[in-house]
Amino acid sequence: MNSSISRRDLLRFAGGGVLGLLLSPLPWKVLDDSAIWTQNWPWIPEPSRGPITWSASTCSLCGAGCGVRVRSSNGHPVSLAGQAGHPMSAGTLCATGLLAHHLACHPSRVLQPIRITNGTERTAADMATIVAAIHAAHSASTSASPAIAVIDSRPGRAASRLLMELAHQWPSAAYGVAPQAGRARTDLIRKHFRTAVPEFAADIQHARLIVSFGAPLVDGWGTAATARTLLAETSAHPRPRLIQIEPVRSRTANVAETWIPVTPGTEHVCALAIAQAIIEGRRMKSAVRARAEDAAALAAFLHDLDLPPAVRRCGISDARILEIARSLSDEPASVVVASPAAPEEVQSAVLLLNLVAGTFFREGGLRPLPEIPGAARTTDARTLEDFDDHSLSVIILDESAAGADIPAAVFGQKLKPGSGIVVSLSPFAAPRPVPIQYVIPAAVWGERLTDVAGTSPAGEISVGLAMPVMPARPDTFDTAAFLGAVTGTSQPSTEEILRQRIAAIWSGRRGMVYDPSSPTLRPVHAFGGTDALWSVLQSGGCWIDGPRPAGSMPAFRFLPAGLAEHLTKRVAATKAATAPALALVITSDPLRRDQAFDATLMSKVRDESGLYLPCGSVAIHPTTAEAHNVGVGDDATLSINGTTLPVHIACDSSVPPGLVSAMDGDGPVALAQSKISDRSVGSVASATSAPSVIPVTLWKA
Amino acid sequence: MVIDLDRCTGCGACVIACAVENNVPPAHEGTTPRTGLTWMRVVRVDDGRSFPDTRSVFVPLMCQQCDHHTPCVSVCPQNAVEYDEETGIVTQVPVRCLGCRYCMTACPYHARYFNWWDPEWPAGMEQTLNPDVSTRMRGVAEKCNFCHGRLQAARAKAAAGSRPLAPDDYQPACVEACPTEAIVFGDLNDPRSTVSAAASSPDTFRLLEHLGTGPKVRYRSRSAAVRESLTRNSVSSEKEQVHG
Repeated sequence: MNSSISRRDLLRFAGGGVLGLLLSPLPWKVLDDSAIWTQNWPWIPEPSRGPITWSASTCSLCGAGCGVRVRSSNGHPVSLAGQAGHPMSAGTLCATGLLAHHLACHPSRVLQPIRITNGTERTAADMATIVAAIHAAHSASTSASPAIAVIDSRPGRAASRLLMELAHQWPSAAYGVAPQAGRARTDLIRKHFRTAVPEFAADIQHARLIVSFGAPLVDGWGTAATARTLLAETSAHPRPRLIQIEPVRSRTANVAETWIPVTPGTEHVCALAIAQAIIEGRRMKSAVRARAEDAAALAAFLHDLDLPPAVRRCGISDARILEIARSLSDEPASVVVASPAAPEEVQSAVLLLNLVAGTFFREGGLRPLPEIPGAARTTDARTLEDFDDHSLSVIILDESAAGADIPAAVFGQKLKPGSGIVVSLSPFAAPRPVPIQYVIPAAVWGERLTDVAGTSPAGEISVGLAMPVMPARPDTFDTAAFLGAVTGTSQPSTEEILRQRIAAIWSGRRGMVYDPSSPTLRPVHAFGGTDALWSVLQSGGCWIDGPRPAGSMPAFRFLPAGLAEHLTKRVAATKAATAPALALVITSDPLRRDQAFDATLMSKVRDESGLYLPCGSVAIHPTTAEAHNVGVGDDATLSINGTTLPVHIACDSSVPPGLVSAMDGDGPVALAQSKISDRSVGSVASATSAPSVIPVTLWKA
Repeated sequence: MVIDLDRCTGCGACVIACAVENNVPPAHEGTTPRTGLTWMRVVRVDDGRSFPDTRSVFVPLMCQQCDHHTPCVSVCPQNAVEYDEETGIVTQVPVRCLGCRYCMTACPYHARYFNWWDPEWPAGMEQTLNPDVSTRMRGVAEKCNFCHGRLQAARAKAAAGSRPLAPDDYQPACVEACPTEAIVFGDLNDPRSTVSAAASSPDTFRLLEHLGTGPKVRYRSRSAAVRESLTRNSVSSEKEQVHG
């Protein structure tokens, strides 16, 4: 027997060995272990694990006052959710609110005073230098007009009272507010009444019919509770009818029972035509007619306007207008609302329609808002635009709470040329066109105690407390601390002011208090005193005003001084307008009312999914793109009033043919809008594919 | 799970809640809708009619939790995708994943995502990570698992109480976050559950029903055009256009 091993045997053995090894679990085990090993690199962040705790608070990012349930690990919040049963939000939070606990780590976060030069260069600044600059302006002021404007981004807070007190202490300083969405409307309403009337809010929760002229009822942050009211149908609360009259099919238009596309810039004509249809159909209620001083004059005015030629430009049929008029007259719980950004003629016409339809002082209509006990009255405060031109040495902006943006151009108009400075108390220093020289670091949500005065979808007011749920950064300021540093005096703390407010609520014995531990609504008088109220609010509860009597309609005029002339002029302009090649509509990013409060993880709905159109882009219907030879993603330039801005073109079938929808925000479009005062002519020029120029006419929506 | 498309406003709250709950990192520089990590995404779908009759719906898209012949399970060479017989949830085991992306190719709903980069959070934000969910690294696929961390916590709680897991013991983050209650979650096998009642509505349908994958995520819409379109056609998104 030949026992020698041949070369072939060796090869067979080696081949069999390899095959056997492959069929054994060993290679798979090696792969598995190496996979586990390679997926646990030390630089991959691991969650911090520790005791889990739950607490309740209130979201303070906007004025909606939503209840928040906070889940914390190791004393740091890891997730937020709505408080089920909360009277303001009914368990909802918007996308922005869900990320409130991420703002403390925002890449634009400011943690020490900084100086900004040339718009972008940032260097560390000394607080003493900033205070010295403010004091210099204060002491150098000799003229009668104020040299320091203290601008409150969110009036109605406890901090607002401190800001007002500073203005009282310093003769050279004056208190002002950022433009308030509802304030212009309140001013317009007051012109109709001879007696003083409070602010009004639309009672969306009890309305059975809502006619909306572009109001973003479900778009963006702060609207989660309204969205639930409008869409979450139950047997106790059937879904209200929503008629959305808007040029672009927005998210609200998308979920409305009826969307009526209207030619941009003709919304006021549509509202006036509906009012006229109610009057001519003899559908005006006798109670309204009895309180009106000039019903006959209104009928004559609308007749003289000769609306039909203008109505034809709206793109809405007469039958549709009659149908809306009939629905508004037949439904007692109905209300007409307009976009807060709508121009004055639209606001005026919508108010007139509300008066004609008799929606004021009615459940499901426009209900008067009571004042919050103990709150500083800010409704009559001036805005930055009301100050004299080139009169201010210092503008102090309290941006510790997100509020309305002030157009960049206004700052340059109000500051003293060459010497004026802007100091912002803000948690962030994201690049923006506002000429801010100094940023003082402010606390963000969850770091320090602050208060939220909100309005519910039912038009009820509330007060809630945003409690500290994480350690505050040591060098950040709240308004009280900042003013203490500026004045060199001891200011009352936010807690002291809030306790005074709670004491005022207790002494008034008005309203109900939501207790999240029960969770129930109990009347204020059922509590033992201020301390018991304070304790409930600290635990995430809120005070909400009680049911208000419907109230009776005071005497009013349909046409206060100047309104008839204004509307006549605007209707005539609509009739005379030549049809633009394309109408440009600037809309706001519903999730980015304040860019700085946009958490990093919002990339999920922007860059990573395209759910929201990016700022600095224009959207057109595919047929429009084809007609003008532009393609998706084309680079283009948007020119308005001589300002040329880079934009991207996106095709969007929700934009009707004939329109160009530009997304507003912190991008280049916002820069353009700040320089636009009225209807302007411009163009969108595509440079990517075959060069083409689209002439556009801007209609401010 | 049943999603009422007539109630979805496309607000994105579900997308954000999902990312927070599951420690999905923010976009890396250069991320596009093709390469992003969105276990839950919302896509707008038009009904195909021309202006002004056109209407659109927002469709929340996540793993459809296929029931039969689950494509991703059958193609995974590493057993990194498992089908939980008790709950019917298709789970992903990232530590087993080799990154071959067969599962992404096999998934007809394009509901799987690949970590093209190591996860990064802005400094300090790692403190906000959910302690119940591990982070994943570059090179592995991931997807919606109906908030497995919440399920495990609910199981632990039920076990501590010496009782079986009840269908109402937990809800995924997207269900909890939806402001309009468009998403209903529960036990489809329990005929008394709300989700069962919703699933038996004649308005209810499944995406790409003809493929026979038996998704356990159902959709509903009163619009016949929407039902017809989504039952037969794939939901168009940039990711799908690229992946085919």
